[in-house]
Amino acid sequence: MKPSSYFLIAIMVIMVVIIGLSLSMRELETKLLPLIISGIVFSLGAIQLTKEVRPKTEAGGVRDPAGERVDRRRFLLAVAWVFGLFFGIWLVGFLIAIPLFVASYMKLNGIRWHMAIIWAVASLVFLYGLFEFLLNVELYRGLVPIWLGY
Amino acid sequence: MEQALVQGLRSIFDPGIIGFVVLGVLLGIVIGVIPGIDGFQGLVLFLPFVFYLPKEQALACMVGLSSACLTGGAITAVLLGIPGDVPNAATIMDGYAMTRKGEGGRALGAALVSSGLAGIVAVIFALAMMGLVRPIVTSITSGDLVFLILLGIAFIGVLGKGSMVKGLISGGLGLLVSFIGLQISTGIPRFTFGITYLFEGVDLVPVGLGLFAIPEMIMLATTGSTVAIGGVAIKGMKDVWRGVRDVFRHWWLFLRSAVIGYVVGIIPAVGAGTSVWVAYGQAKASSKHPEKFGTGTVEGVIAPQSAANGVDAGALLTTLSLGIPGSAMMAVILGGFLILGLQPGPAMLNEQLNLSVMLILVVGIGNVLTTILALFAAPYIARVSTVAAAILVPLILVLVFAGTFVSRQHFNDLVMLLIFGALGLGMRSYGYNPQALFLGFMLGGLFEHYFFLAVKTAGPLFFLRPVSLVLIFLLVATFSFGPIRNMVVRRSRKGAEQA
Repeated sequence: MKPSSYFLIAIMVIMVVIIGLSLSMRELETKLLPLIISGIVFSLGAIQLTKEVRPKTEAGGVRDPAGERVDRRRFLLAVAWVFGLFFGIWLVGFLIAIPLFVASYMKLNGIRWHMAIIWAVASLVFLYGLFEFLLNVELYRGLVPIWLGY
Repeated sequence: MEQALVQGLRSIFDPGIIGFVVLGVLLGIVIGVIPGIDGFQGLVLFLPFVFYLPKEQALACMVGLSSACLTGGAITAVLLGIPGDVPNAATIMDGYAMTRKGEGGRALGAALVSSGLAGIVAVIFALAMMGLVRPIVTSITSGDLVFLILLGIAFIGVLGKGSMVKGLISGGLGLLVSFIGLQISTGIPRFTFGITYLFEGVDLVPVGLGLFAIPEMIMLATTGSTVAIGGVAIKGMKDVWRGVRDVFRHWWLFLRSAVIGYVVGIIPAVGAGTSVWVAYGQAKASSKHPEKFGTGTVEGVIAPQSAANGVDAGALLTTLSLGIPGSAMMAVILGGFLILGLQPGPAMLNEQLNLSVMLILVVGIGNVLTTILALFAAPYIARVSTVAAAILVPLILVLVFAGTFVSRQHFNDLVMLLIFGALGLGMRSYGYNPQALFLGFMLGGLFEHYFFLAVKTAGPLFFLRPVSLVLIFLLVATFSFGPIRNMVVRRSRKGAEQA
């Protein structure tokens, strides 16, 4: 089965869950539209799945919309960086995670140290200047600083 | 009316007012370009300043800002594939594809000029239709709006990239995401699983940035190249002017799309998001090469961008004359009116006609100023798409994460960003239509609200009205378009082979 078929099956499973949850709701106004829409999406999913399971060779792997295959290792690394940024912000907050992320990403991707540091400092100044100073919005401080009392 | 027009023109060129229009335009361009901050947020942030400014200056600045945002948002839509605002999602379809082919300057030129000129066309219509907008808007019922929303989703699902079935699945998913949270009339939580954060529903910003920005940045980081394949986004100002000429070459498409934007835009709430897709759909349907849409054709940029900027003047007129905001940005501008002690409604077109005319003219001037400023900066702005991925990716991700958090200052919005980022990645990889999901999500709440309102006021046969029947016909035609076209193509190929 193609990877796209698994994606479609996941959508159909979610539709079944939504249908089940909707049927358990008491008021008609609350459940009617979710029932109808999820039913339609499930039916469309079944039609699409029928088309996809017809024998037709297609190589697996991650595809760019241009149809080119992309390097799976680089793809997973890129995803890891995004998650890394998320966990960094969660742990130490925007003002620490962002410059660390910018500097490390750039350096590990071939940018020279001094440029990476300049961009890291610039992004910190921009973030702090625009959001905290000008717009008076407190950026998330992070679990560790909050725990330490900052 | 002529006197009000003359007075309005005089007011607008008053240095005190034009200065604030320019300020609003500059703010609007910057806000439009930054992912995660849209015109609505920009206007909300400006609202406190309204207390300290004279009314003409304050309103002129706000209207200038709102006019510039969509054009500013088109810049990131074209160059980075990230919509600056909801309507810019349609511009991505072909605008970003053109940048990838090295025609970023041409796409920018076409987007900017069609925006500016559409603003002027819409202003002319708004001034001419000032007396008509009230009966038009009040004759449209909830039932009609239900089908209009469905039409917008159907257009994008059927006529966007990829298969029709996948497009409709995407639109349906968007509608379902919008149902998360407290149901609008019963107040009962749906699909929240007891999580308090979800009671308010899913926010627009993490959905939009997750669906578009995260997958784009991951793919850019994976390929390690520049946005413009081959590192050439623009071949100098000549490329930009080519895009400008394209708008005049396709003048009939531009005019149709601007009028669609204006007409659909006067309908409160649904206007902006739907009009761009209706315009895109009609452009594709009437094109000699519909198969090129989605691969980087300039018509696919002119149509939605003209419609997007055609909306403004109509939405402002609805806001002024009825006191009903024509869009989210107009809702904030309405707030500005109330802060200044002005009551939008029929009185605005009588006692405050001069001010009303001036503000409508500001929409036109704002669009023109934005176009001129952005056009000359275009070759430089376009260079963003030739910046190495190693520099662009982390900086854009910083803006995306910060912009997402700033929206509601809720950490869980970052979790939503990742969830929709994963969904967007899957949709992109397997040929689904994230624009359809986004539009379905945007309009889902309204769709449900109007649906039940229509049933309660007109009964289950609420669709038996001329406007609704026309919209239903267009819906059926939209679904039939693809299969009929394929059948015609197959028959003509068979005929050619036999010959």
